[in-house]
Amino acid sequence: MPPFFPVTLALQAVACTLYVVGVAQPTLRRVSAVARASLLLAVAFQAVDIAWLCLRGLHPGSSIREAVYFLSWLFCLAYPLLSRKRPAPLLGALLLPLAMVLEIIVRLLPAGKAASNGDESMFLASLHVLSATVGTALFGLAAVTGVAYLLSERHLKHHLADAADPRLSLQTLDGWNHQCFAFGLLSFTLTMVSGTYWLTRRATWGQSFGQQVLWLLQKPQYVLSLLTWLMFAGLLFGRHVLGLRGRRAAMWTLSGFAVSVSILAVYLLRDFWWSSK
Amino acid sequence: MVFEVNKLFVVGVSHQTAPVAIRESLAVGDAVLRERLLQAAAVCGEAVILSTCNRVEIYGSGPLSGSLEHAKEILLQKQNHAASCVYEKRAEQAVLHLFRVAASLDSLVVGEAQILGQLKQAFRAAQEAGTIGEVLGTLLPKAFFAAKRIRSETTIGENPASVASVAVQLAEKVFSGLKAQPVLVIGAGKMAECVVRHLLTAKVCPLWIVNRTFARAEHLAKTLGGEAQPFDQLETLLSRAAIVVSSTGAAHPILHKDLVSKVMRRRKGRWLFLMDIAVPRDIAPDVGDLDNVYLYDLDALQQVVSHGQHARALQTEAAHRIIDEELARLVRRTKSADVVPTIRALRARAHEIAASEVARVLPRFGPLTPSQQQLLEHLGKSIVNKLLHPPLVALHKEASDGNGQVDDLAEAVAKLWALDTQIPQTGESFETSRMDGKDSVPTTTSPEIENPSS
Repeated sequence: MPPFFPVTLALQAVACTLYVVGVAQPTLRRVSAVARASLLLAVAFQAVDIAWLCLRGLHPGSSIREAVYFLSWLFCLAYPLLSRKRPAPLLGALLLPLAMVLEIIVRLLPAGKAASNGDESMFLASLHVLSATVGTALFGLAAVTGVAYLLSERHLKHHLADAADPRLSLQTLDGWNHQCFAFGLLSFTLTMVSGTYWLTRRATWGQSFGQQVLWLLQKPQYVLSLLTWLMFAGLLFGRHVLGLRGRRAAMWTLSGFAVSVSILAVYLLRDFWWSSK
Repeated sequence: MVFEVNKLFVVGVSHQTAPVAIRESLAVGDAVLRERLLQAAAVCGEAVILSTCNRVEIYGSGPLSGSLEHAKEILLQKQNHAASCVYEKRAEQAVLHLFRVAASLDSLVVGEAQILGQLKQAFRAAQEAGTIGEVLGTLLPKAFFAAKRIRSETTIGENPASVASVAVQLAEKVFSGLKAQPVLVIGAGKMAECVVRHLLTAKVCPLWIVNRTFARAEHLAKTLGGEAQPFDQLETLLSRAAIVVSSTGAAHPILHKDLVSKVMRRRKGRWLFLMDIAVPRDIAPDVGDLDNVYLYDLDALQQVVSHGQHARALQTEAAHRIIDEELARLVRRTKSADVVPTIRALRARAHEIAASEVARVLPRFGPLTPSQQQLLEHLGKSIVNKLLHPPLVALHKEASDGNGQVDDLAEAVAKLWALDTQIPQTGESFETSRMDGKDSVPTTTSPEIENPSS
């Protein structure tokens, strides 16, 4: 286990609890400041942790396990960046549990092997895994802003006295959602290209294009990745051409993120199955 | 400087004691404000006149018997039928009242922000007229400070408490900013005008007004600085506006789901915030079911207003706590200020002795250079400072703690050192060395007590 993992997890738990308190009691303004300090410390500890793993050859591109750990760090890092201008404890309260669950799942899995240097396919695999991680992190952020949007929207639609997070407007949340999934899609496109190239290189030489496509479609992770890409590309198209925004866009983002998480689940289960054999 | 708090008084009428007819008859306009201030100050010594739509009050300071009656006469302006509505408060009660008014705890809408600005304006007017002295010059900044603390440390001002302010806050929950958001007003009623005036403070623009009677739309547009549009342009304007305020006298809804649905397709899903403040309603209730359309009718707005008022009421206890703290701090400062003359006299006496002794021994050293002379003088001052530091700190601390022995102690010091000073009575005076209203709890590093190491 990396040395700083328990400290990181404890600090994240403190920050998460304080963000929940901040949502329930918006008047307690110091709570938000303490939560932010705690989260920034957690981010710093986790960064040291990841650096320590990198020194041992377990960099984020070396395996899905390390990639997911890196993903959780990106989630934690994204929140202070997103909320630097406008405090948004609701986002913190939604994002941190997600990061913590990912970290705990990762730590339950056996450690991966150190990556070997200089191998071209290894470089491609690292690029693929890293771009997928960044893409999934951004889809995750989009999903969290989507949940915050749905909560706020419900309050406004039903004329409840106070919106879920009084400091964030629907337009702001929707804008964040759009930016996150658009950049996520860019990163995920790189994932798709590198993944397709990598997989087709592994396909048998002499196969026709149709046979190669069929071979690819037999890979569940490829099918799920393609579905994720199509969903977010469709959402981007729908937003710019048809005006798909607001509640429907938030729900669409959530569905897309669920599919992208299922890709991780497939990889993690596969790793777990191989390690238990 | 010291002053006697017992001289402070307030006479006035407010929404709690007088109907609007009396309040408006006693209101003091800008044209006569200076004259009235001077009239009041001629007898009272000091005067501040606060005249708002909900209250007319004269704060003054002077011998209570004559001043208060004189201020009352100035307030009533021979309208004796209003005498039964006038309230009077004196000394500590008047201070408490001033703090409550500044903090908007005595307002019709608790927590509203305007009263603090109005009180500051009244203070400025009195300063310009030269009717501010030690009492009001100290107390009003303190009241402003307490009010600011209440606004920043509680949420008393955060929940909107009127339909118009609710409308602005709800719109802010939909849009990232209201600046440059287009607003469409349907109908030319008074209520719509009030809501739009609030929206205009958030710099919304452009503002379109449609009404079946074009002349009325034009009139309202001229009043609000908007643009009157023909009623048949309603659909086009709906597809361009972000906020719609509807307040017509129509007997049936004028905006139906089909129409708004068609508009939303043209808007490509951009958010539309609709406020229907008409009775009977102008917008069919099922319009609110459409995606990205937020419809608030009068009942829904009223519901949010009630919540805001309730939330503000819950904050009044915390606000009172802050007022108590500030008053206690003021009293502590007053007590601390009581020993200031003793401390000054003691330091002056000690330094006088040191200076005379140095002057006496200097010739015995023979010819000295100026730097050597300065060194000796500095030595004398330094010894005095070091000797006086502990007793002065103790005297200050005793005064701040308010143990009741400060007078005895100050008297003892005065007797022991044969000081020539008048010691004022504890609890009846306030220090007025600072009039900026900032936090100024006396500390051991106050100018009265020099650091012995200096």
